[in-house]
Amino acid sequence: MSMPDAAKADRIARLRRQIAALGVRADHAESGKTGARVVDFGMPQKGVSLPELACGALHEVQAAEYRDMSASIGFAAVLAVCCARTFPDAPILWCESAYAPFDVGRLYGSGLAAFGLDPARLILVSPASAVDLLWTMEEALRLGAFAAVFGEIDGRAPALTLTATRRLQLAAEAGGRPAFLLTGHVAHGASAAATRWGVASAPSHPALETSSLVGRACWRVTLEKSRSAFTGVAADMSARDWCVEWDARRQRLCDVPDDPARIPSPDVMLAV
Amino acid sequence: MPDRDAVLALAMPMQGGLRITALTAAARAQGIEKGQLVADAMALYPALDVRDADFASDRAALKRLASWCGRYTPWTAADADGLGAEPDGIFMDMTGCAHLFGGEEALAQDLVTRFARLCIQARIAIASTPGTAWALARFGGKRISVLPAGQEEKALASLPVAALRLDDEAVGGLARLGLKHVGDLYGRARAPLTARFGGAVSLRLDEALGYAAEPISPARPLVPYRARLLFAEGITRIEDVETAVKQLADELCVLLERYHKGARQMELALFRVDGEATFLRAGTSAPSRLPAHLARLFHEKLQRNSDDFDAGFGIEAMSLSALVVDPLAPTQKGMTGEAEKERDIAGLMDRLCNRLGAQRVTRLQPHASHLPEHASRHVAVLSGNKLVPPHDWRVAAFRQDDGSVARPLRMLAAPELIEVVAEIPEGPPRRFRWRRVLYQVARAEGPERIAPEWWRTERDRTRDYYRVEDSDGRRFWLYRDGLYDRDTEMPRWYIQGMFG
Repeated sequence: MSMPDAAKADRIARLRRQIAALGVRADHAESGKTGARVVDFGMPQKGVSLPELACGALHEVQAAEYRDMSASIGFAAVLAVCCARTFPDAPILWCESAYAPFDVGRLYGSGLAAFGLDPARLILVSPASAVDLLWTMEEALRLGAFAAVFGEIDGRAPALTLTATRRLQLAAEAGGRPAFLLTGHVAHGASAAATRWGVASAPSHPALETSSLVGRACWRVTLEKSRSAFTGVAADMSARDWCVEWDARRQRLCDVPDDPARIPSPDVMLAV
Repeated sequence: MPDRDAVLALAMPMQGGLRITALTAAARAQGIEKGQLVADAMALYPALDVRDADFASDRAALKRLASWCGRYTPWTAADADGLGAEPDGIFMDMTGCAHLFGGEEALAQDLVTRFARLCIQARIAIASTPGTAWALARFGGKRISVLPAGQEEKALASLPVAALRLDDEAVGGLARLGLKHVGDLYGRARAPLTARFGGAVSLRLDEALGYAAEPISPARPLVPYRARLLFAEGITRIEDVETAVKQLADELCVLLERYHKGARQMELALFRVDGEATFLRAGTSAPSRLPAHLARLFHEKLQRNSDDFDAGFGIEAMSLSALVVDPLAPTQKGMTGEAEKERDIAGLMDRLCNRLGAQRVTRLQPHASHLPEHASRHVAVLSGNKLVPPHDWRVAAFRQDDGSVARPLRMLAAPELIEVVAEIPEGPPRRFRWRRVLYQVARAEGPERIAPEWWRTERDRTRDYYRVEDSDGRRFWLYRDGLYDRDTEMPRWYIQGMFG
């Protein structure tokens, strides 16, 4: 039996992903921590291939370039919705940077509600400095009482050191709840985060190809870095990059073909 | 620190010229007296250092000293009357406190020693009534006098009537009647005295002897929930202060638990060796008696001010009081831990507000307005020391059937002007320039027309909103301000928000 090379690579990637996912579960089952939980992406059985995100960990979300800042916020909002679903009764803490209102704006209640994130679940904090922001995040994470803790911080802030991210990672582990650092468009140095995601805007796919209307929110997300369990995935270039869209009505993330001409569904190819 | 041996006097203009109001022991040794004309005093001792009396500062200093005396008892007050025109004493209610310092005698000794270190020559009298203590301190002739209960009459008998806190007129009047000592008043008919001098003489006598009650109003709020700590030696390190705060919090919480109370407002008092006292306050959003939580509130306050934390020559005593308390029933730990989580969050809100400022911790609140910038507001989580409950947002959804959204995730602080090229004047933009970057519009949806709220005073124009997506998939919320022909010749375009 012979398979096309591309299909072979794809299959290997999928298997690796499955193994990686199993590995994570087994690890955490042994330790018996609540950290074993993963963020519920609300994805259907088939068609979505983002790796699972561990709850008791620090994740970074970074914009591909300055103009993609709002795209990274959009993807972070998806993560917030998913975390809110994973921990149904807990509020979400979101730390804004002090200059955000004049740069990328502040979170807008009606927009969040439409997006699927109930603004009533949000507690917003706007610390005056990066030091205060990191402190706030750490304190909140240690409590383990929030569904997730988000922090918008300039990736170039001197306070954002390896030690600072390590502290956040440990606090997230202790509390068993996920932390997300939105570091803007600048890559910062060494980080103890479990994963780092790059987010870029992607053109939407309206229901009708011919329509000129604006469709669902769509992003190209890249897993730029992954500690521990996902290295198998990360090593595989083809499985590092996803194009996903957010269905605000059904509140779920779906895979979409990045470039309609490029990738047919893997299942179809395997059947050949 | 003042020089003990300085020949110094304070003076102010009075009848006949500048007169001396206060003087040092060294000056007194030169034969100078209070009330003397400065000119006469200078004749006695030409090198006399005379300065202006400043009663306002004296009173303020006395008040500070009274606060500092709070290290012995919470019930302290600067005396309202002094032995002249100005107050010169401090009242302390030692009831139930003396044993903490090894008895009344030891306490008085301690106080004198501490005052001496501050170069204050204090005379101290401890008696069962404020009136007797006042009299003994000023006329007793001893540095420390401790009068056992029941001996007031005997002790006061030989003192001059001025010891009864009477004004000069009354003292003079009594003297003319031959009543020079307090003892002369004992057993005298009250009616003629009252007829002649008003009620003051009898009242002061009764107060001194304990026949009439004389409440002292304390300088600081008096609280039953208070924990205190004394140090053998002054501490100066902020870490030591924090350790002490933890210990105080433990003690205070035991007290609160006994009475089923939780603290809402607390005050930490730091008493310094040099006679100054610092007070820090912290509040909670819900009654609490968790020692760790209460201690952390002050931890944040202290850390925040760590740069200008000034222990002077050391802190020798501290107290932690719950100024405001609310009932808090003893609770059993919940089975699920949900209640604890909620309490944890309330606790964190307190600490965030204490460290960052209450206006920096907010929730989003919907507001009934057509203008998008008014429809969502940031309101402080803690309002009036209470946690604001979350608001109901279900009514305000702008979700569309195709799973896209009609309102941006982010709103700029103010709409920003953009340059727009549109195909047709009333149509959607083709491209626009924002912050010097040109965006090609690939998709656009709109207009969504939002009319101004005519009942508002600001004069807004009708806006036509468009959701646009550029060629790379970035989405923006733009609007054209005003309608062609009706509102303006050349409507301007603004960007107000960004979709995710």
